Amino acid sequence: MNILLIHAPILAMLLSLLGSFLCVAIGMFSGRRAVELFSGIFTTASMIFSLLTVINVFLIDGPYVYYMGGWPPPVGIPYVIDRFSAPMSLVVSVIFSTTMIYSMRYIERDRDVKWYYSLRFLMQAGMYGLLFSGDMFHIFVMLELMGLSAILLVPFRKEVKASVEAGIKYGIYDILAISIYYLSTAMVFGMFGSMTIAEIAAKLGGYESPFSGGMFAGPSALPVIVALIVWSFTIGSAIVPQHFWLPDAHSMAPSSISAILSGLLVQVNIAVLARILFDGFAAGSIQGSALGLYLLVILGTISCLAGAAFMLVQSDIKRLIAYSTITNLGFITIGFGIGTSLGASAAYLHIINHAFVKASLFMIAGVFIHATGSRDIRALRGISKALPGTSSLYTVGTLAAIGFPPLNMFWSKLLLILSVLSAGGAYSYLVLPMVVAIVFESIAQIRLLAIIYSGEKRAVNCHPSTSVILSIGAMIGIIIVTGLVPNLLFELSGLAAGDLLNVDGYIDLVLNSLEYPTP
Amino acid sequence: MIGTIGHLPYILVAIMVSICIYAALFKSNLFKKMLAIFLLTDAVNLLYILQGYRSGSAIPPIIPPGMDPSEFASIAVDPLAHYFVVTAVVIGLAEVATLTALIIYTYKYYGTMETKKIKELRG
Amino acid sequence: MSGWKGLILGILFIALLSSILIYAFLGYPELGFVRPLGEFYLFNTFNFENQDWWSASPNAVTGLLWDYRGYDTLYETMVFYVGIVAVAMFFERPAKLKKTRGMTIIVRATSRLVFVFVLTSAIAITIFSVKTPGGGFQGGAIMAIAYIAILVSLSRGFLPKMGIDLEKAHIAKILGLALITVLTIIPVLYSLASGSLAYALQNQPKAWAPFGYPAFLGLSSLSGGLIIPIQLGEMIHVGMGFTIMFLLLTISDKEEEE
Repeated sequence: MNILLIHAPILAMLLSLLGSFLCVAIGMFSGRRAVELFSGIFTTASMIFSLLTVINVFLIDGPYVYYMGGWPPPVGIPYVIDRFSAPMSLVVSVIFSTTMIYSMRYIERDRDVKWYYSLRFLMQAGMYGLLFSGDMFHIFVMLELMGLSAILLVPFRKEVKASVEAGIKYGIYDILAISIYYLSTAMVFGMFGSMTIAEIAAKLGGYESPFSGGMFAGPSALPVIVALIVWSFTIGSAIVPQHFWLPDAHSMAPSSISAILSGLLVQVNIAVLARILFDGFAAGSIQGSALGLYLLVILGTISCLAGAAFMLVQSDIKRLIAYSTITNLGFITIGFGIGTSLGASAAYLHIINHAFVKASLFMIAGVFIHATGSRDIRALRGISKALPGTSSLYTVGTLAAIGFPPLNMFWSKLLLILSVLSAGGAYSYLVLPMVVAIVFESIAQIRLLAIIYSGEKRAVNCHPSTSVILSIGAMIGIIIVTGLVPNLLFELSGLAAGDLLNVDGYIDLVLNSLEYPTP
Repeated sequence: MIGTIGHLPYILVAIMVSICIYAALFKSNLFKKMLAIFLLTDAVNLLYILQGYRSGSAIPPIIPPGMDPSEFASIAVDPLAHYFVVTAVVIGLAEVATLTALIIYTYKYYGTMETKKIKELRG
Repeated sequence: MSGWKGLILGILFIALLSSILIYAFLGYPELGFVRPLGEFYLFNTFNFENQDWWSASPNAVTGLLWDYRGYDTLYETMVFYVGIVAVAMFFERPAKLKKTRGMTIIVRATSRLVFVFVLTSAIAITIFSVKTPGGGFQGGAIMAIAYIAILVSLSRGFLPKMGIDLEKAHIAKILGLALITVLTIIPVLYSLASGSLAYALQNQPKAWAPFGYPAFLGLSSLSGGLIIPIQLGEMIHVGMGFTIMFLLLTISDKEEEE
């Protein structure tokens, strides 16, 4: 056991934390270049630590638990670093690094960049915490950290009237969602007497903890708690009918932030929900908590249909991409909701692929908006002749988004449809709304592509700088390369789904892997 | 067990929570929405404190000098519930600061706090 | 929704939601007992017999705050930091802090006198939080009151004369945070250097992770290892944060235009 590898995920998180206030100090004494350089170094360093974590989990030691403060659960907070959370933390680091390079030029004209980078760091730390955390109350704290910094980054350009409106809308609903989650933690505390996710599952199976005893309440509360948790997380991840804040917030934020919000934030919410439902409330085996999965399937179906339908009528490029996020979130929730191992692995793969695709689309949309000075789709007519490089990158990104083989999202959509078909029963009919949604989404995206490639060459305000093109190119490169190795992707997502659905393995890992004398 | 007096606080919390969620969702004034969310947090804080309460002659979770730990453990109230509330109160303050800043700015731009009149964007 | 229709729908919504919640609560036990995990903390927090599980703090809530669940509190502090950023980001403007005469001489003299007492009590509440109710956040809130009293009674322009303006408050706040983070990272660095296992924010040595801050800082009446220094860091962070918030929020639009 290498000590550095054990500490790697925590070091990545603590580096983000350090960066968040040190970059403010640097910003007060020297110029913006110093802040950017400093933030770049810290983001890259945390990416290296995340990479080490993934290597450790997959190739060297395997999944392990980091005991915060040295306390075994349920006394302290366990950080579960397994094959479900580690790859997603790497995705978080990679997207934060690329948007870091992108933001250097993108927010050049804004004032107060120190707050921008500071909040970005905190959002990153919050995402790591959410993915690794094995404690219900710690998830509440991390949701606040991630949510509040995202709420403040949406109206970062506070001179723009509409961005403040989007910010307050997002703020009210996200904080309401987190408060509802806080209510459910209080009910969990009353029922189980402990906040550790693994102990919840163990106690539902009749386990008596040496620290926190057994269960204290009858089973009637279980479906209510599960419903409250699903409600709060579906507001936070914009599942229809609570989606109305997402198109506003994601389209009014600066594009470098939209990329993070749309590519990561909502998906991290879904991943945490999956962790709580499957590993905490054992939704696969306990009758009372299966309600959560039914809710996910129903809401997911509505979500993918509604998102795709709204895509057809959008005239703003960023709103169109934002509605595409809602559609894809619908697919992801369906994947988790059917509860089979294939479904979970398909949803997991879709989260990772979608993160890269959506982040790159938003980044390119930002370039287009700077170049044309307008968010309207019709203003993009003829832009392919003026910005041929960017347009071809956009084409690859769009083709990936509609699932064109052999790009990466083709494989995850294929896997999703296969998982729905193989789930049996009424779930097989879900393939119908999913195909309809895919078709609608393709129509909307191809219409946009047609506009980009039609018309005469138009004048543009500015050309994207090399660093912007490089950061977008890196994302598109990842999309192409991961599409070429589907076997590796299937294997990875299979392992992740295995860790997620293996409740006994999770309980054993969290509760029994530390040797300590009985108190 | 149903219907005993020990359940009355739970029922009060349930009603308070429902009223707060209703107000946060359906009131059209931004400031009222914000207040409702904070009252919701306070209702949950109340739930925590109630669950950590010990009937009889309870003492605060600070060990008096010279008291035996096992005796202390059998008469003090639950420190875990108190801890959760202390943390949530600080977090609530950060929420107040964030939302107030945003609401002041919204008021500056639109001259109103009614969500029905603030509709430059269509969700 | 208007008038009666809205009222009826609202009452229906509240009735539905509260009956669902009451249904859930019916399975709950009657109030008035402490769950075993709470008793575990009470039993172990200042138990000299079994120091593997203690936090060396007689106040169990303080022990939970910065030892048993310290990592929660670390990020709770960061959430509060986001709240300060919210105000600083939206209301930071180049307005000059102007010195005016302030209130009457009695108020001014008293507030100068009270300032010292309030600051002392803030520090006392923070340091003695291991033995009495209190803590870094509470101490910080009281510390901010000292500055806010000066701000109200003697005008904003008086603060630079006392050696504190916006920039210095930011720096002090960052130093407080840096103290907290350094104390968090030291066990990790120790672990990397020595090769033995120690976890982030570890306070007392344990049989399975032999690293620890000294439990008694030379004084037999004050214990708790890292708890007292880390609470001082939080006090500075919170006190300065509140001062920044009030300083920025009391600058009115009219002054900005001048």
